[in-house]
Formats: sequence, structure tokens, C-alpha cells
Amino acid sequence: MKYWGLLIGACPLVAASCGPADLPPTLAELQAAYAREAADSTALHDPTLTIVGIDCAGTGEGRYLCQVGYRSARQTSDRVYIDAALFTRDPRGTWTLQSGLCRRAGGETG
Amino acid sequence: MLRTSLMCGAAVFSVAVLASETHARTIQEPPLFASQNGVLDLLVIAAPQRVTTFTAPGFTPIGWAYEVCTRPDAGNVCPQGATGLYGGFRLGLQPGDLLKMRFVNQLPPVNPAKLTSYVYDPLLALNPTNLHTHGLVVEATANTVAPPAVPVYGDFIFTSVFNPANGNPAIYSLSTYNTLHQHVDVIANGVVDYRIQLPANHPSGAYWLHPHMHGNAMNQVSAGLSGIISVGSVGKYACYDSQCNSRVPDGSVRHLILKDMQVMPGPNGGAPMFQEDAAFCQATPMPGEAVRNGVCAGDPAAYPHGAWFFSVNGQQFPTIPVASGDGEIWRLQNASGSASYDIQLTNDQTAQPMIMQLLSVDGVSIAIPPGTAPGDIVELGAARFHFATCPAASTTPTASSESPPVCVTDLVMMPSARAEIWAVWRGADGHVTSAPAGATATLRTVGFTTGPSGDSWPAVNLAKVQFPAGHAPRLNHGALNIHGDALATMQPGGLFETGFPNTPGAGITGCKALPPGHHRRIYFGNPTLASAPNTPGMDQYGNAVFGLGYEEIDQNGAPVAGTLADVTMFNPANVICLPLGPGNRPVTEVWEIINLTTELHNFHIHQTKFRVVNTTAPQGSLLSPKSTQGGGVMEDNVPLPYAVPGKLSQAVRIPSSGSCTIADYKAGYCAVTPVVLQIPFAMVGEFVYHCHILDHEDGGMMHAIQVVPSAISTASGR
Ligand SMILES: [Cu+2]
Repeated sequence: MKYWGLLIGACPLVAASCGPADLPPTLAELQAAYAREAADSTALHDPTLTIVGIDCAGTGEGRYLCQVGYRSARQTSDRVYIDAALFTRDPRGTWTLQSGLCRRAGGETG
Repeated sequence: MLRTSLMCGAAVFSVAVLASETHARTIQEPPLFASQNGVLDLLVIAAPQRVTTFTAPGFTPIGWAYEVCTRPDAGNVCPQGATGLYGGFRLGLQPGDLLKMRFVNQLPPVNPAKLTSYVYDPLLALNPTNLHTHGLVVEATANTVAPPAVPVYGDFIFTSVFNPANGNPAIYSLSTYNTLHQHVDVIANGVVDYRIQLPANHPSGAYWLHPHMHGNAMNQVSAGLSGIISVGSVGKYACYDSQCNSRVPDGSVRHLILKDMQVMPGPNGGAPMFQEDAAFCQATPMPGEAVRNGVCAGDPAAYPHGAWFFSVNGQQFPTIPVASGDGEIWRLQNASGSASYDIQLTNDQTAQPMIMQLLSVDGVSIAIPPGTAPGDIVELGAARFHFATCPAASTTPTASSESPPVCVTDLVMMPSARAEIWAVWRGADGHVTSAPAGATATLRTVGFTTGPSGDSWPAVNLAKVQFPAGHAPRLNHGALNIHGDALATMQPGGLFETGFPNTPGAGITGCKALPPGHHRRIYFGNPTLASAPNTPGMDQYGNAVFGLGYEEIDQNGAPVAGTLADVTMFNPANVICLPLGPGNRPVTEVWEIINLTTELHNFHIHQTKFRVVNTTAPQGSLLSPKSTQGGGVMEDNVPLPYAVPGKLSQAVRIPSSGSCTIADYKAGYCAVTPVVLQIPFAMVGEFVYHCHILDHEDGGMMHAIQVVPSAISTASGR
């Protein structure tokens, strides 16, 4: 928690990059980003994944590091998996999953 | 066999460079954190810690240790002066308690050169970690809360907690990150909670706490990360007299944590090696080498002027003043990453090992029925002890309900092992007697070799023991009277008979019980990797690799078709699954463990205890899987005798492999000594079984297992 606090706290020092456009992503935006990623490379993703909670902090230039909790519809339990993920936002405000959430580098399944 | 060959050539030993202070210091008990009103709520911080208790000049290295305090009302910082000791601490729990720990990772990054597994998981250099409560029979529950709340786990090892100061794992390349996060939770902000509920019928005894991150567990444990746990009271099972009118008080229990650290000299107190190289010292002192009091000198060729410290409660060669003529209960914990001990208590006057009464093994007091054959006791102990006749047994009649005392001269303690003994002065004939003035003994390891392709762990003196002159005021029996929990766990209401009201719900599809009469066979071996097909037992980088294989065996001893899995390195995607019994009662299975390698390994399984059995023993024998007369000895780790390879086996054809193959075994090319275990499963969750030589566990000798409630089990599959 301390880490994120420091990063967010650093924002006022670089106010130019911390306007309204740099608001952290919402859970719905990250779920959408994940769905786009899954649609682009279905073999690399568990398509049943549902994000149930996030904790994000910006690192500048539209990059956000998020602690993401998700459930898998294949799981009968109420287990929440936790992953670290990197999301970026393009100038049009579209979020892209860069790493984490079971994205695979290539070829692997899982 | 060590994974990385760190030295080569024959060692030429010079006169030792280490002169430790001659006056030893009195041993300190590990600081105690005791539960109150059924709860122990702590803040536990893994952080660098300077070791100031080594007395060899120039060595005050910075290791890693847990800082522990009662959890503050707010924040994740312990008050100044909080307990943060290399030597460890003790969590004092009672059966039925709730253990809550807020856990914070503040460890520094690791030099990749210290991490043999770096090639497989570069993010290990960021030094992720977690906690495991070794030996506790508790649930291994996964997290069920969503961020931004802090995740909450039971005794669950499939999570990796990163120190944010070392960097966020998600910013590393995909191929790097994916190696890590596919099958474990990734906690990037350094904080998790553990919530561990002890059953009300949990055995009383000694347990411990250590990191269980696959790939760096050996590095972290050898740096000092561990503490111990005690459950219940010794008086529950130990009395001074045959009628149990005089129970042994908790104040007579001494906790002895055995830790070792290899350090090279240098500025700032020297540099810990974060490793366990058995060849750091010669196995036994060379002529001219100083007496090894808590330290041995580094090999002059490979580790010039280095020092390998063997501490007790973090102290180098302390003095243990036995408080009473009645003796003391000693709870010994091997908290080494990889080192094995052969513990003796040597009478300094006669230089002979003293007889010690064995009370408890791996946190469960033993329960040997009257009349048990000595040979059966030896078999129950599975090479962990050198048994001796208890002198008291022949002279003191025991009540009919009483376990006969069991005595040993040696405790073979492989990594993670616990043993509880009664340390009391004995005369030359082994009888408990009044100590003469100035009676002393030396607690030491005489050195232990783990086999032809194994390691020779050195002989070192650990502590000086002083016995008070005079008689034993409370003892009128010649031996302590032990009413072992090992029997109670199997009786109605016992943990492994009645079970525990498990958390409902968790599970996976495709999980079925082992058919009646079937057993599981687990192979310990060194695999052949697809990436290095010509060097069995070694990867493409020249490091030794370790693995486990699997097979199901039917009631006639025949393998079940389609169940054989060759020896492979740990892959968390491969899971053995089994449901609890009807009504979620415990399920007991028989496992046959076969060591295909030419060195000892140490089988350990989480969330339960097991008994060594012999499937050919008559039903009346304690060794029979059907025995109802006593638990005997319950363990959570057991040495696996090494294989004797024939000339057609891989181990002889390619000696560097260090291992027969499963095919060698089936073809009769390799003589093995199976260890057969009866394992009760009472707790749900996802957990592991593995070799507790942590260098081997990090190297792949581990497998996942899941226990689910009975109601949701369906279909078939392993
Ligand atoms: Cu091993």
C-alpha cells in the first residue's frame, strides 16, 4: 500500500501529466481491455476470467500498474486469484493489457 | 548432490583461521509470542538483519530474519526495539487457536549468481517470498477477497509476495513474468494476511514457520528466515511418575533452533553466501584445525578464510545450563536450508554419547504400546534415530496403560526435522542419577553423509551443556511417562479419526477417491529434460535437476494402466486430487515412496502427519496399516534410503545422472528400498509434497496435491 501511495503522492510534482486524462482505469475499463486481449489471442487466455477488484497506481505516460483480483468461471469455489498487471492507455483513452492476467508470450496454452 | 558445483578439486586444509571466543555465552530462549483468548495476532516483517551473535572475530554478516510484534492498530511497522532476531522466535499457540499474521516483504533483491533457478525464473532476483507453517495440520485455503483489500490465505504456499521497493514484476518482459505468474498469485505491493485456524484436537508439540517460495526457498531459509511454533502444553503428555500425579511443567521445556550460515570475510561484517554448499568445510576437522565450536573454517581453496556457522537460537556455541536435576525437555529444530545433522549429547568425561529418552517426533508425542518389539520401533523410526535400550525400562515396572520409554543415542535430523528429548544426567550405565559437581556434556553433530552421490555435512560442536549437581527431586520413575498424541489422533474425537469442520466449497472438477486397496507410488529421481536429452539429471546449463514421478498401484500390486507419470521437475499444473470421505471425514491412503537416486532425500507433505507402515506386517503389529492399537511414531518428514544401482542402470551407465530411471527399476536393474507410509488427509486445500532438502525442492523435487470436500467430487482423474 505504501508503494502506491508514494506514486500517487508524486503526482502533484509533475502536475502537467496528472490532469483528468490521467485518472486511473476503472474495473470495467480493465475488464474490457482484457476482453479485447482475449479476443485477439484466444489461445493465450482463459476466456472465463472476470475481474472482481483492482488497486491501480500510475507510473506516468498513461501506464498503470494494477493489483487485479479475478475469478474463473471454471472454478466452483469463491477463490480470488491475484495478479500484478501493466495497462497502458493510448491518446484516445483506450486501455491495453501489456502483461499479467495470464497473457502468454506466445504458443503456450493455459 | 548440490545443484550448482561451486568448488572443485581436492581440498588441502590449512590450520584453521577461526579462533572463536573461548567463553561461551548462556543460551537465550527464542522470544515468545503467546496467544491470548484463543487468538494470536501478529505483524511479521521479512527484512535484512545484522547477526551480532557469532563470536568469531570479524563476522557480523547481514542475514535475513523476521521482525515480529503484536499487530499494531494501524500501519505495517513494528515499534522500535521489536523482536527481530536471526536466532528466531516462538509463537505459543493452543489447540483451537486462531493464528493471524499480517506479513510484509521488505527483503532486498538477490544477486542472480546466488540463484540456481534464476535461469528458469529471473524474477526470483526480486526476492519474492511467502510463509508456511510447517507441520501444523490446518487448511491450505486460497484467497477469497478482492483488491484493494489485502489478500487472506490459510497455510497456502501458491502465492508470491514481492517487495515493491525492488520493482513491480509486471514491468518485466512477458516471457520472464509468465514463468512466475501462471500458477501462483502475484502480490506486487508486499503485503498479505494469513489466517490459520488450529483444530481443537491438534497435537501438542513443536512446529515451525519458514518461507516456501519455489526457486529461492533454500536461499531464504539459509539466510535465517524461520521461527518456531509450539502448540499446547508438554504436561498434556509427559509426567514424572507412573500415575501422572506430577506432570512436566512448560517451564522445563527448552527450545533449540539449529541454523547455519556460510559467510565469506569482507567489509561490513562479511558476506553471507545465501547457499548451502556441503563442501564449504571438510566433513571432519583436519589435523591442526581449531576445535569446531559452532563454526568450521572454509575450505582454503574454494572458501579461503570463510566461516560456516552452526548456531543454536542464533548463538555460536552457547552454554546450556540445565536448570534441574530432573533434567529438561529439549525441542530441537533443524532449521537449515539443506544441511543434515546427526545429533549426539556427548558426556565430556567419558567422550561417550549419552542416552536420551525420545518423547516426540515432528510435533507429535510418540505412543508405543506395551510389548512392542524393539525391531518394530526401529522400523517405525525409519532410520531417523539410533535406538538404545532405556536403562529404566528393565528396572522400573510400568503401568499397563503406559508406553514403554524409547531411548536413542543419535538423532538423525534431515532438514525440517523436529525431535523432543529428555536431557538429564545419566551415569556410565545409562541410568538417571545425581550429577557430580562440574558435570558437562557437548551437544554436537557428528557429521552425516547422504549417500554415494550425496553430500557430507560436517561434524561441529553446537553447545556446551552444564548439569547441576544433585539428585532429581521430582523423578521417581527412571523415565518420563509419555501418553502420546500419536495414539490420540487415531481415536474417536482425534484429528485423523473425526476430522475438522473444513471450509466448505473449494474444489475442482475431476477429483476421485483412490479405489479401495489401491495405493499411490511416488518416485524420487533425477529427470532427463527435453532441453538436455543427453545429460540425464542435468539441465542445459550443467546444473543438477530433481523431480518426482507417479503411479497408481492396484490391490494386487499391479500398476494401473495410464497412471504412470515419469520423473519430472515441479509443474504446479499437475495436481493429485482426492476428496475427503463421506461427511468430510478424514481419508487415509497408503503411499509407497521409492528413491531411485543414489543419495538420501527427505519426503515431506504439508497439512498432515504420517506413519511408517509395513504392508506385510501382521494385523496385530503396530506396523500394520490396519493397526488400531496405537499411532506409534507420527512424522511429517522421513529419510528415503538411496538406491543401489545395477550395472545396466542409468546410474551406472551415466554416473553423473545420480539416478536410476523408473524403467531401470521395473526391469530389475536397480535395487530400491521403498518407504511405505499411511497418510491421513483431514484438511482441504491446495498444497505440496516435496523433498525438504530445499536445494532439491527448489530444483524441482516437488508436486502439487489438492484435497476437496467430498460433496463436490466428480468424474475421474489425477
Ligand atoms: Cu532431496
